[in-house]
Amino acid sequence: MADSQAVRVVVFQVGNLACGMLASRAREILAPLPTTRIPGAPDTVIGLVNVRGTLLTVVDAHRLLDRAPLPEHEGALLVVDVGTRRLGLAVGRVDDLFEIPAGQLEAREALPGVDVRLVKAVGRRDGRHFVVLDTEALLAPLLSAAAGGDRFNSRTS
Amino acid sequence: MSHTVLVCDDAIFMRTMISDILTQAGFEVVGEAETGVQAVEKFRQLKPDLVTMDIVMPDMGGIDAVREICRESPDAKILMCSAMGQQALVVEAIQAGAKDFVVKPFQPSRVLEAVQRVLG
Amino acid sequence: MDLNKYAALFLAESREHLTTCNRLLLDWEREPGSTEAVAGLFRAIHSLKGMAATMGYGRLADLAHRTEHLLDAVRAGRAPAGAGVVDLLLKAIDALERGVDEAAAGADGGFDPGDLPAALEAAAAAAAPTPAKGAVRKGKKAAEPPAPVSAAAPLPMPDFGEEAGRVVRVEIRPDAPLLGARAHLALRRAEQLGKVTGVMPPAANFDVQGFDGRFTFRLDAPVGESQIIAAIEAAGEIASVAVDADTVQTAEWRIPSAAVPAAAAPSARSGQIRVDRRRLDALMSQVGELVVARNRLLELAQLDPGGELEALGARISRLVSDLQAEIIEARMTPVWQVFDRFPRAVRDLARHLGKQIRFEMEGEGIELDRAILDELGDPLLHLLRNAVDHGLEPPDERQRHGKPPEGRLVLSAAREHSSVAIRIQDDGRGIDRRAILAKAKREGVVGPEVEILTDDLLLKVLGRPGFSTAERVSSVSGRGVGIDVVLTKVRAHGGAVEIASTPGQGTTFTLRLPLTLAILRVLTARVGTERYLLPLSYVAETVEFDVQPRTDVKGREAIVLRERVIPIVHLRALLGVDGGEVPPRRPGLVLEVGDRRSAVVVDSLMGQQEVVVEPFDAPKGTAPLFSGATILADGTPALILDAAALV
Repeated sequence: MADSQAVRVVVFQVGNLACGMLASRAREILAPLPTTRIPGAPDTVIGLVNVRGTLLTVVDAHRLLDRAPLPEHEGALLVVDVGTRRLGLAVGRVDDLFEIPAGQLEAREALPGVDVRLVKAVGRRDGRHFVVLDTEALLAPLLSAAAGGDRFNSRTS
Repeated sequence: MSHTVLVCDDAIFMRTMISDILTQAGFEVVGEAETGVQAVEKFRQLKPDLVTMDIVMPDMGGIDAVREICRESPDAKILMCSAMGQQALVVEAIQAGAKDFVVKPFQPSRVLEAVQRVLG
Repeated sequence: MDLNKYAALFLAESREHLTTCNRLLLDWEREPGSTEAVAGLFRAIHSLKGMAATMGYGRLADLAHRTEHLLDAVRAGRAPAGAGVVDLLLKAIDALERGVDEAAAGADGGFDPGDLPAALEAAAAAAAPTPAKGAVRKGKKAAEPPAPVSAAAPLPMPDFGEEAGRVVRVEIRPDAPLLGARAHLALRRAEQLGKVTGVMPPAANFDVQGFDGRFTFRLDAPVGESQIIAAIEAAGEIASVAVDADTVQTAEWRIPSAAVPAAAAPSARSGQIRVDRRRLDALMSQVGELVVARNRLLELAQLDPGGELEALGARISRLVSDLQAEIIEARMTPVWQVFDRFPRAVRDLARHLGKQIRFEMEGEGIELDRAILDELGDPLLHLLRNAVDHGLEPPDERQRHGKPPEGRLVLSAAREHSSVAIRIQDDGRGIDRRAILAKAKREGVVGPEVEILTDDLLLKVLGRPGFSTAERVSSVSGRGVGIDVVLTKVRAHGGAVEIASTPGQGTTFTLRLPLTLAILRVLTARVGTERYLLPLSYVAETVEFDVQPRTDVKGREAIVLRERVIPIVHLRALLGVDGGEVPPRRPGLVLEVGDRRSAVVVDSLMGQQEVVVEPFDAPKGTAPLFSGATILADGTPALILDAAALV
């Protein structure tokens, strides 16, 4: 019974903040890639990267969550599904991917310095808390309304 | 060795279906034609054992194509593909040298029976 | 047999036939004497009927049959293409289109053609020639008209006594299709054995209605009974064969009232096979990746000049280019595939609005990337509708202004350099610039200082989302509705829209589109430490910017090139680039989109290349300056600038 209610979680560091996200939303974990700036985009957007021939817009988790990057973090790129679209989320370091019984995730809870609207739940691992981010709430506002066929038309005046 | 077939019909739909029926029965569809002119040209080129021929086609109809083919190769084995209500045309095709006919909508069994008859 | 796999083919091909029908009906309407149009119509409907029947779409097949019947009757009766018949046939085509869609969606049983079948029947009856006495069928000898025999009169009995041979009686299976034709086949088999005489009923009457499949003849052949039976049975569908039959069974049979066989006529548009677009797209995207890999290979090859890798790289490069060209070629589709549906739409709307319009199409053979073409249908239809509805005047208004009552609307396609220009040109009243300007000022779209609405400004105003939907501007009501959609669609494909309008003389919209979407020739420009790509097809020339004479137009910097003032666009400033050193002598790229130009200043140029255009998810706020992005040979992404947004 417990098995069927287990949730897979990716845990990562954004500055000094321990975060997690549902593994079902994470397509893959990559090392940082060279980025091309997109003029006009908000400063939370780092730019475009090439993931094996496909272009991906990468968002900086540090700026989104207002955390200073730590020098000891080598950086990592999470490929995240947001609705029907896909974005890259640049984080400081990916720590772990594990299953946790759903019961051990506490419903969203205020954590100092984190916007409560971005938090899905709070979990605990090895005695440390981590916030499970609501990636949809975090990333969807950055996407332009245009979708699907209009993807490469950046005019959305 | 399997018999070779040239399928002539202006509708891709029909060509596909006839080809499927024949291929599944072990025939080898070696060519397709969508006009009468093409049918005559491809017959010359491919010398198939059997031709299936639609009657209504652009650019020389099926009957004229039969006439043309049979003039050059009296032993050509041509199976007419006709619709209901085309009796007079089928008769004309038979007089022109067609060996048998099937009527749309096609039933695979009837098509194959007719093919067997034509190939004798 | 599993018919499902044929459903897609059925749908595609039926739609194609029906589109052809619409076109032919309009041809016929214009030229009522044209037998070619009727022959083509007959053929298309006939094909549709056969396919529908094969798929088991009974209702659809029935409607097609009735339509075919009317066409046959009209053709036989040489009835002129009266408006009534054309309208009825157009309705039938509409219903068939609906039926095809419904049938393909699995709802043939629910297809309801209403009272169309009855109307078609009535029209067929009216158009048919009066049942001709002794109607001579094509292909029959006129000297041998069918014997005028009534059901009541006894059949003339064959005189077997005078002929040699044995009497053979054949009965075709009564459920066999086309009994008469089958009887002919049986007779042919007999003829191969020996001399056939005294056929009864006469073979010329096998294919009349009422023939029941039974006939007799005398066969003089040096073979035995079993051989005769075997030979005739080989004709197929034979119920029985009797040799030395002593009685001759005759059937009651009548002269047919009217049945004239169809004759085939020539037509164009063949020689193509259909390929699923997704397959082509997949192929294209694989070649796209191959191109990226090739570019990388060429870079590596440069590390070893004169080496084997360089030679191999060059060879692979050539092969990839050829392959790419072939696939692009395969994706190229003639514009008529989209244009074909417009004559009907224009005609219907003109009729509805009481306007007389001569609609012409030119350059239908011009080809475009299918991916672009597929997206063009709606924007074009929209512009055509606008022209009919708002551009072209009613006949009386035209006459008052000294114009012919019939308005002219031309849709044309033409190759221009490496792009295709599609024009929609009307000779209507033109756009009322004063009214548009006033409205634009009220809405704050343009500043109060603007006195004249140039073509460019006009397009900018009309292209604003929702412009002129808020209220109607007298003579141009609706002109702007959806123009923004047209602009968006065209620009999304790296194209540009132009407008030219002269009061009283008409309006022309030009849609300029790249030949193909997937591969773009670009010029790579360095700005600071960044690289941007510009589509080469819009680069008219490059100049040494820093030595050009300058001027300014209304506060905007410009260069003067061969006495033409060209506004300057500084990419550094526009794109917010700050790193890197600004070189003292910078190149300027003169972009030309339609008759608009600008000089784009960059730090340096890094050469030309072919790139594969990739979509990218533009985040909110992205400068509206890009038409796409690509991956360069070194694997890094680069943005492609939209020329139309820079001029």
